Amino acid sequence: MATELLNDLMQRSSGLSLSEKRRLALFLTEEVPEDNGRTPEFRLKLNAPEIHSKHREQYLVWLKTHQKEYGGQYVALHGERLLGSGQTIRDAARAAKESGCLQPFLVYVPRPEGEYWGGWI
Amino acid sequence: MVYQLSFDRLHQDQSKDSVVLPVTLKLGRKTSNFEAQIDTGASVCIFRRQQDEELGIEIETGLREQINTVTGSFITYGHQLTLSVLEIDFEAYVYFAVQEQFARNVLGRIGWLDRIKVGLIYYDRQVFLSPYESMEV
Repeated sequence: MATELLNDLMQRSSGLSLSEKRRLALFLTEEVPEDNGRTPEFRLKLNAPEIHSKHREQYLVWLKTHQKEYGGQYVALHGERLLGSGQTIRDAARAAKESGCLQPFLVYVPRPEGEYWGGWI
Repeated sequence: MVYQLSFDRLHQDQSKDSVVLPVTLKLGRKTSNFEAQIDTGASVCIFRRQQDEELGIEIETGLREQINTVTGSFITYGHQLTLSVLEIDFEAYVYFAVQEQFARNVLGRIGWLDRIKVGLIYYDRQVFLSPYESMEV
């Protein structure tokens, strides 16, 4: 019965999009206990240099290209993929996790008209 | 009610009159080491042009941003680098002032404060720091 269910699930999941497969994989992995019986911790690791330093040029091009569209929001990127966006860094992190990515590059997109302040003085 | 926070890094420098931390910027094998003030009033991290030049970056190739102050504004360019403070490393957009007269280095909200936990006891010039890894989403 279990094998039948597994085969059915695998067959049905083949029709999912790539991001849906990632979400499903993350969901299933979170359900699997570690050898010590505890549920594994799935902490987000944000902006890891070993992953995202190689995408610097891509991200710069993305920011320049999409500043009008996403100005004032945080976005979650991974290589060429936009994983999601939100008003806060937490929103963007949540969007990344929902897309199945625990190691996104989170960055604030400045508004085209400018908004930054240089300090209290 | 008692609230408790835990940190895994402590920096203390009694000789300083402001809250400063040692910063390292990394780009490939090149690094730039300096001190920067924590400034919760600064929207982003803003550094002197000299720090950018040490890394061999052409500053004007970055993301151009005007930074406002109460007395005017100045132009900066943002670059993605590895920002390291007390060995907490992550990729971040930091901004470099075009004008060489800009003499401050500040750690601001976007790109640094928004991804760490910080505690401060100014009386003892103590800064407690941890990465904000336990993010519940």
